[in-house]
Amino acid sequence: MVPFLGISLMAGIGWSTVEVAPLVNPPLRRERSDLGDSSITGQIQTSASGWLWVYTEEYLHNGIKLRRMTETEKKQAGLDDGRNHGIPVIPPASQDFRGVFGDVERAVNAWTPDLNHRQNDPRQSMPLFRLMTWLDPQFVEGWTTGASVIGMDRTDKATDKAMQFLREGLQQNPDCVDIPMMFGMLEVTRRAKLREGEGFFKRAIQNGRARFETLSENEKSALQSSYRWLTLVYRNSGQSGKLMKVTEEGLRLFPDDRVLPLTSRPSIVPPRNYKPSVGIRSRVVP
Amino acid sequence: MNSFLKFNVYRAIARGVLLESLRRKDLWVVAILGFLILMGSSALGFFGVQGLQVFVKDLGVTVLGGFSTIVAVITSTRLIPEEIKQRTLYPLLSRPISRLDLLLGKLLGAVLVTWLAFLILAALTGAALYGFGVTFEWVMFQYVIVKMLGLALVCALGLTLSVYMTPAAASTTTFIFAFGSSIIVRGLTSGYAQADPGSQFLFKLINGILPQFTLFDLGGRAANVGWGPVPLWVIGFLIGYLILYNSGLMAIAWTRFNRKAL
Repeated sequence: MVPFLGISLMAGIGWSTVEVAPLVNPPLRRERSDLGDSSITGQIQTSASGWLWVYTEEYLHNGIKLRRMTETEKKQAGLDDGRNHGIPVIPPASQDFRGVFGDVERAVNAWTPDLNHRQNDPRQSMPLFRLMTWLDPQFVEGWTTGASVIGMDRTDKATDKAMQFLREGLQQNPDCVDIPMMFGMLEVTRRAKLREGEGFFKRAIQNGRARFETLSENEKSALQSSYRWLTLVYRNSGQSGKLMKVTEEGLRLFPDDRVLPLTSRPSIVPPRNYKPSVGIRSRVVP
Repeated sequence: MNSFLKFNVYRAIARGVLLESLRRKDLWVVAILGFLILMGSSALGFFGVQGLQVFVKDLGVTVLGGFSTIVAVITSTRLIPEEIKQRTLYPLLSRPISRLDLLLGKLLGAVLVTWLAFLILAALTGAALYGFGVTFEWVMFQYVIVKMLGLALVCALGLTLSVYMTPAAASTTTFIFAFGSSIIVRGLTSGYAQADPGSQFLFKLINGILPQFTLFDLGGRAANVGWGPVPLWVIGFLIGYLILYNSGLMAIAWTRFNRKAL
């Protein structure tokens, strides 16, 4: 009885002292890379969420394990476009020296020679994003990609859910660049709220500039996107002074950006009788 | 000794292995692992099961395969060394049984213990999957059968290595082959394409010698949707491969064990 009470007391104290956690175990921004963090718990969290991240891709391909094509394979397949392309890990019979062993392996695994095989609906992978962000709340790509998946329907309800998901992510990662950028994108493209979007892009830029030297490639890309979106917001809301200032600031950080200078051009406002192509359901016109 | 008497010998030795395993409370470990599976499953329910069925199935077969392989390796690699260490081998061999009979009986016992553990874990995993609303498919039944064949292969390799090595070394080596089989095979298929024609036969030779554990895992097919059952010729091939490979392993083990000074 006494040990049980003792354990209960310890559990009760531990449960109620959540304020201590950020002090003794401060949240660290973790990337999907070989750079682990120093705590074992953190490594387990990162490994688990990283595994789920990889698993999500496998799940989307209905269990077919893929790997990246080598440069030679890309040339042979005519896909030498500088991007990454996937190819099944288990080779087809024509490229497999193992004979009947290869045939059996292809038969017992989820495998097809067709690279354009049917993929699963990404929306079904949503619980995986929930799980990976629960395991590793500092995994920002999990929050942003999960929000994209939730908001795929482009309905108001889907957008609300995506924003709610992002809000949770932002609470866990108040200093990140990607989540406010994504927030701003949703505000601008789904709700046509330029002012709200502006606030999020500004926050993303502020977070990014505060630690520009230590930003990962993904975060730098998000920062660059934030500058581009903010200039678009200023252009479409007629704030040319701010537009020029932000464009200059962005180009100082990303001098090679060829898109940013183009955003200062006047936008093409479609005529009133314009009908968008099939699949496009909204267009931001101030 | 006629075949009926031989069967009685194998059965008696296998029964001894099973009783020893029960006495050592190995199956308690299995029960604890099964409890962990159920706990893990209930934790997953927290995130909502809708859409997670495939993930839960995949996780289930992965955990099931991993835990049962651990049981197979630990059981098979300690049987012969312990008999020698505890000097219980002498009374066994003083009976009218050959050393080959002893090896085969021990293999049968290890396979039975492993299959029992696997079936307990499979039943618990099945209950957890049923709780998540996962529907039964024939490929799942095939998964269980083929996995059991694969575990028999693991036991044979573990037992053979334990005749040549210490139990720790035999366990480690068997673990490497059992869990690293797919990585090794991937390395061979990639390496073959890059190798010069003169050395390509080496890749074929290594691939032929290595135990093909990956062929006994239908987990990826069973967990995902719409792949259907495996053709029967594949099951037939795997049974044939298991008989041939295990016979070869037992021959290698017997060659050493027969000459071993006790």
